[in-house]
Amino acid sequence: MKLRVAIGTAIWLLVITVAHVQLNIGWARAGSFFRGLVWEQQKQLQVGFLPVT
Amino acid sequence: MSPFGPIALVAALAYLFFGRVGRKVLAPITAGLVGVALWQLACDLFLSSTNPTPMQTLTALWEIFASDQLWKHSAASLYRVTWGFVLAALTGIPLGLWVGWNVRGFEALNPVIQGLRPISPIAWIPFAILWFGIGDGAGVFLIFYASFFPITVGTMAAVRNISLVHQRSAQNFGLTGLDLFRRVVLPASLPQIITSLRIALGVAWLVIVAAEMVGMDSGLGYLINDARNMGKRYDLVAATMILIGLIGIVLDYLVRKLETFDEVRWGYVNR
Amino acid sequence: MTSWVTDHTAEGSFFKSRKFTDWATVKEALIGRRIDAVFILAPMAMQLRADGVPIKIVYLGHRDGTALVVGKHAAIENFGDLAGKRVAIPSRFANQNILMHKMMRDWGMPDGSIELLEVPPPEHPSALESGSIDGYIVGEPFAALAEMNGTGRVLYQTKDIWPNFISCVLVVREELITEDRALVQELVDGIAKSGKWLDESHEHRMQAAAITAENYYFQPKELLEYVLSNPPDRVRYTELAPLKADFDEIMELAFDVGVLSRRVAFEEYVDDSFVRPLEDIDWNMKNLPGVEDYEVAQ
Repeated sequence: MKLRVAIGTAIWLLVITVAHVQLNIGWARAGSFFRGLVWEQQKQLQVGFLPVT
Repeated sequence: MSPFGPIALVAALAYLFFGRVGRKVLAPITAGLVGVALWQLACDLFLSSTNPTPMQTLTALWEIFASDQLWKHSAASLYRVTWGFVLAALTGIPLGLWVGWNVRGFEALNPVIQGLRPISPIAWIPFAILWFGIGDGAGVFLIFYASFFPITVGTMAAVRNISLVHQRSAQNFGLTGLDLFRRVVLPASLPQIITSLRIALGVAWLVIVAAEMVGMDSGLGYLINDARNMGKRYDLVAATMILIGLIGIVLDYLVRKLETFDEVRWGYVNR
Repeated sequence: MTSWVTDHTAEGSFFKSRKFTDWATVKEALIGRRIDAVFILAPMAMQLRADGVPIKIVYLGHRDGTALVVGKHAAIENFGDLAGKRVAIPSRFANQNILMHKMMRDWGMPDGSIELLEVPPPEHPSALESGSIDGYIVGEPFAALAEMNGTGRVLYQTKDIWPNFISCVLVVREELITEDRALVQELVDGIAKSGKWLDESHEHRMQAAAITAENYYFQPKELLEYVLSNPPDRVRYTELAPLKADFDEIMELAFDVGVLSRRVAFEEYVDDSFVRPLEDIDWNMKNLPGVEDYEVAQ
């Protein structure tokens, strides 16, 4: 039983992580994150805002 | 018109309602429909037009399903819950087992655990953002925190509640120490551990929605806040709530499946 | 509305927009240096600086674009009629709050004669509709929302009571200025260019409304179109240089009202060295993303 649970959990972890990166983060940003950049913008600047004037 | 028809209809419905099939399928559906009818009634009678009707909510739900919003945000929320929950389980179960079994460990750590437990994860949001930034890290931390305590406390309680009969009779067979733990205590505590996992997952799913309203830029909780920012899209809010509920049911169902494993059922039977 | 101009600037390769939903998170992100450039409320920027957070205002987001809205059938004809009533503001650190105090003084009303409630901007129209407040003062597009719904009417637009009203400003962390001046200059230039483009013609504004509605705000296109054109100078995107006179006025009022904990000198929290006359900016239309580059929902 434990093996099945462990394998099932591992598979789900993989699936949901891939899905999340694919849909929300984008592979470019994920790549630069792992290359150890502190803020993921080298030539990129994140500009924040609230949708109200 | 003859009274036969309506009577037969009512009889058939009653049979279905109270018969075996009826109870499992018709009863919950009927209860649900009654709820929806009351909702619609409330909208018609005294709620302002800003409140979404069942039909509007259904349309909004379709809107979400049809767009890519559904997958994006569900994936984001599930990602954070999955990692936070798994990390909490991997740390909480061993810790709970040790603290439950080891008297000195219990005396040292129980007060700390009980002290941290009542602090709502939501209160930790400012620190989560300060430590982990405005992204998934903070979300995973909050879920970890929210799940850790139910799991740890539940595991501790499971171990401490192993019936004395079990322990004594095992000791009669010459089992001591680690062997006793592995072969008797652990299996016997499994059902309660699984229950605490269920509770923790429920809490985690609750918390992620609240956490995403503050500080994330994706996820189902974020979607709700976004719908608020759209002006008057309360139908989207209600639709997202339904979606959250549906996913919650699926998550709970998956954890409950763990209970069907033989090793776990052993623990129940012998309780 | 504030971020339109950024979103319209160089897309993708240089500037990425990040939408927040509440001011507290923005503050924390700035304090912890999780983000280097944000549009925030002007008084909030001053208070952060007063607290020692190393930020600088480098540009404005827009001018005007705020309105005081009351119930459509309410017996409120002028500011004086608001005595004893409840008005919602977005935040005590919002210039809308400062404006309310300024108006109370101009009208000779004692402080506290109007009950001011802090309410998140999206809630303002529904609070007005349900009767829990008598009026609200907030930035677009929430001000126009009640108008469009037929539940409210505009009592004053800021352009009529505090001309060239400043609400949101572009704030960057000082480290970014020291580390990458060129990037900040690029951002400011881009905003200036886009602002000029937006204010140039009605058609440009309608295009912008379509793009933004779909890609950035998820607010209905009709609402944004309404805000950008009724009247055309409801909100302006040019003349965005931070000026000492404007800010000192806000700062003095904010300190007086008690929102600001200490006086802050203009030079302390503003860096206006990035402002360039529009003629000096390389007006290269090719760099601006064309409307065709965006998928516009029909």
